[in-house]
Amino acid sequence: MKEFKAVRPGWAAGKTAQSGLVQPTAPRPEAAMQTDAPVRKTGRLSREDQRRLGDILQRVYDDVVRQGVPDRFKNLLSQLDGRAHKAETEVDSSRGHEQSSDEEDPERVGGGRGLESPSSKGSH
Amino acid sequence: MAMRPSVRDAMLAAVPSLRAFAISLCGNVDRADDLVQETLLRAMANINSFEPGTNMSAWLFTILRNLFRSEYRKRRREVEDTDGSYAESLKSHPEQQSRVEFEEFRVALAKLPPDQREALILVGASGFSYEEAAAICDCAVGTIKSRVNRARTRLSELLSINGADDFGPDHATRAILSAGGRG
Repeated sequence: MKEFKAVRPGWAAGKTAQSGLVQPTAPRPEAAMQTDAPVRKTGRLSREDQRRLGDILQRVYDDVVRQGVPDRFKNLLSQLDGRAHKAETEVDSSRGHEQSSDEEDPERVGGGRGLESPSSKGSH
Repeated sequence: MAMRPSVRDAMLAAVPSLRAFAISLCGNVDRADDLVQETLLRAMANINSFEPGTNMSAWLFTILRNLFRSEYRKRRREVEDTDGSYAESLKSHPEQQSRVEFEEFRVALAKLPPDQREALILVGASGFSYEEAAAICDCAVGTIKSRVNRARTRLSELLSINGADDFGPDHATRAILSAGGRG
């Protein structure tokens, strides 16, 4: 059976010994307001311990973040997006550059030929 | 109303972090993804209440957190399903050490009271400031600080970061801790 180590027994004893000293055990008022499970009186963690803990937490978290956006959510958002666009009548001008090629106008593509003659530019 | 591309992009960009938050909260990938989906649907339905220029990520986290809490309240009496699917999802993870790390950390994290857990994750992993975390959790900044401190203390006990070797961490945790210390 595992048990937590006895936490600095002298610490609590020292506190009670100085009973004449009126010092609140919880220095922060918000700490006293907590109704969560009682905090073990281990005091503050050392910086090193905090750093280690933060490091593990960050790595565990980032490992999920690195999985990126699952297709499920890409699909959901584009689905929602599509629905939103249907609801609105005027669309497409602000988005979907890829899609604009589907409705391309051959005339306009041909019109690009003018760009092929830079020499004419120089003559004028 | 049409979703502006910037809004959709901001939502997409927030998804990975939302998932990580959701998984940390409920310890179950399937439930977490359902939670994220519900969050996105809720966000879309209320997109008009989002103020452009404000933090989209924080807004989505707030929605997710509230959804989780209402669900948590409903499920409190049910047996927590924190094993199974999560461990299953980790089997594909390439690094053995990370897998063990995940598992041990998850177990420890799950033992924290929800208030402390969410505060620690928001500040310690999601990268929110104490002020932002307080806004997301709808409480005072001091309360967030206090919860984060308690969470750290408790976690360190559970992972035996402070502990003596007699009843300290098993080999895996020790390896993680020493790796972290060197890193």
